[in-house]
Amino acid sequence: MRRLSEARGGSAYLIEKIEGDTRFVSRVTAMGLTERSKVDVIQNGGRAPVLLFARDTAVAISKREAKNIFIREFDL
Amino acid sequence: MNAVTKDRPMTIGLMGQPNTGKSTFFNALTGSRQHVGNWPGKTVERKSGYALIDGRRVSVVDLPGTYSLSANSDEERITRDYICDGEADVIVALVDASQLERSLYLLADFAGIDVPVVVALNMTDVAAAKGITVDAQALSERIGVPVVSTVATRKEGLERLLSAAVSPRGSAAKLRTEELERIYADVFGDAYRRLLALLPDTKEGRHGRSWIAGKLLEGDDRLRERVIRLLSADGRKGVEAILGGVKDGALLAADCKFAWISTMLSGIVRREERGAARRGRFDRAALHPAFGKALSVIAVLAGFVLSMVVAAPVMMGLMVLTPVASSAAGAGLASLGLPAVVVSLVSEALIPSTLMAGMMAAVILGVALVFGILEDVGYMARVSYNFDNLMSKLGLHGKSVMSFVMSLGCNIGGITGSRVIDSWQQRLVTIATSWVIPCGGVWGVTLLMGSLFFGAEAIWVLLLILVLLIAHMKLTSHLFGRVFIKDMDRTGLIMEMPPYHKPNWKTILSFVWVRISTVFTKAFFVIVGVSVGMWLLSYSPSGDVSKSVIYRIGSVIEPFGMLFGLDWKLFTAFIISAMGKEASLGVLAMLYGIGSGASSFTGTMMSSSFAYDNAALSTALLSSVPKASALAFMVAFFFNVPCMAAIAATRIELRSTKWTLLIVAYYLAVALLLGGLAYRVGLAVF
Repeated sequence: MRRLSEARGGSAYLIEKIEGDTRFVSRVTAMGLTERSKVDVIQNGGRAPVLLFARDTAVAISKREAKNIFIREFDL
Repeated sequence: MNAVTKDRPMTIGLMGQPNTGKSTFFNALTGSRQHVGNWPGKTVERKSGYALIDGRRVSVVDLPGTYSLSANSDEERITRDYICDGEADVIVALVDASQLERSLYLLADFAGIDVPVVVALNMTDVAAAKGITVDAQALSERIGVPVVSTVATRKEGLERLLSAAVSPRGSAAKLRTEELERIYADVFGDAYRRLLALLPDTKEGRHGRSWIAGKLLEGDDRLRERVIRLLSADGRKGVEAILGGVKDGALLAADCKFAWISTMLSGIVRREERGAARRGRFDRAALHPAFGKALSVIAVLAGFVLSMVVAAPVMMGLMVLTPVASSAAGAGLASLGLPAVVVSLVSEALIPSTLMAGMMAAVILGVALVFGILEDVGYMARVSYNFDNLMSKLGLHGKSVMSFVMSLGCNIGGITGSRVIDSWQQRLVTIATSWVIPCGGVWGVTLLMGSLFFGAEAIWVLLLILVLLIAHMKLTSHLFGRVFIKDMDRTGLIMEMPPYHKPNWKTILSFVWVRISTVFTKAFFVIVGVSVGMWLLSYSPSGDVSKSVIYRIGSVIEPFGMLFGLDWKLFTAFIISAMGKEASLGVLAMLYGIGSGASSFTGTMMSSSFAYDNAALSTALLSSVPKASALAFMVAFFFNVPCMAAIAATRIELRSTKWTLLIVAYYLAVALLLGGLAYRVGLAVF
């Protein structure tokens, strides 16, 4: 499984697993990222935060936090 | 529910996620009838005010913007506690019609709390532009409470919303939760039902049992502790056993809430298929891996220049007025036969410092206005994104870079600009770190003294200072970070990137207007206070400094100053430079007996009646100051407190005298230590 921190810009993914303590999970899910939800990654370059669309909202997540979210490619 | 009597106006709590237009909404409801303070015992800002409906006064409390009602941050805890224990008769839940699915999450987290709620479906204009229409009536029937469409930026729908909230139906409206409870039972199975059975019948504040059960399954420790205390020993064991068997509670609870949202919204939102023109051209540049950062720096600098332009008329006026007013006052009072002491106090301290407070207020308001616009438009989130990586090396968030860049022009700008930073703790660490950044005035004196004492070798001194500067920033940000930012809050960036929208001038201007009198008053007291204090210490009728109080103090503590290589004159000049850097040369001139026209340091710094000859000062300095001491002074001067206006601005931003003084003490101490270090180095080298 790939981590969100390694996602490719311009691709769509499905979130498979979110790991981490309750605080992290609360913050991330309140932003619209839940297991089995779709994210459209806009860009993910260098050391910059991952920029993506989740449930119609643009969200920026630092690489460090994004490591805890596991994804797979979204096949239509 | 609290009885609404004629004596106590009805109270509305305004709840909503960030970026739903809540401040615009609040301002539209309350106009200038606002009061800003702090939530008791916390550093989170509290805004309250009054709205008028049908001639009745309704109290409105602006709750902190939060994405949910967990117990993870001060903002969430404050909101939760206020709703359940507080005085609100009804909650207005603000949701964003253009991002309804996520926006309803807060309401989903609220569901089950036994407090009346009315939904304001805001930003319907933005939704329409995206081709989205929401059937407010149908939604209202589904969730069981009034839903009113509003466009707060145009003040549309506000009256209908207020009427709904204060009406008998509105003030009794409870959210329908059967569907949510059914979903929880489905997802958590037996655990949910057994937990409900164990919970006491008496409500914890106004929490409903199903809400408590949901939160417990989610892993809310704070609530668990409160509930456990109300249970018998058996009940306690039962609850712990159930919760112990729950895995991934937080994830499952989130799924429940989104499932509820999609059930509530099914068939209610209509979306025209439009080609997703998701990101504008500007945003591609604004967020560009390479250009984005440069663009941010340019934007911040441009914003700073613009703030100065806005403040310029006031500043120009006051700068012209100051020498005129102070000499006119001086002459006038003297001609009335008043003693020289009084004349000096008024013309050298009171008048110039009052006008200086005015200039400072102008700068603060210029910065607050321009950066308020940048924040309102949504650009600040882009700055956060661009500089998140770099700033995290200092333990800070991306927006802090803005304060650092602005401080290059003027520290007051950097300090005031920090108000776009979300948390008070982050703001404090940022401000404390930004003080070390040299503004224009510092460079002037530093370069002058450098070339005077060291000639071409001054370049090495500057390099030393630069190295110390970076080390100082790292040390300060980590030291203050360690003290103020708990590990718990030290999580990485998870931030919404809102779409740009047109700035709402009414919101921004009212924000600035509400602050004008507070800012000027606070600036006034600090600046005038410090000036009069400085005047008292340095006053001597003839201008001969050896007759003043500060001379007596200075010579007594000279041995202390000498530890750092500073004799009483240099030490005094160092201390006074905390008031302001540009005018330090004037102070030095007075200390070395050169120049005339003032009877106190404040006179040299602020009125224009003081004159001295640069060449004479240079000669005096070269002949009486050894090189090592000059180095010590330059370093200590450079790293000292920026100026008293910075102190005043810091106190205004942090809303705390205590912490401001801590930062002052820290800077004085570190500046002296660095000066002492430079002195030892100088002794060895020269």
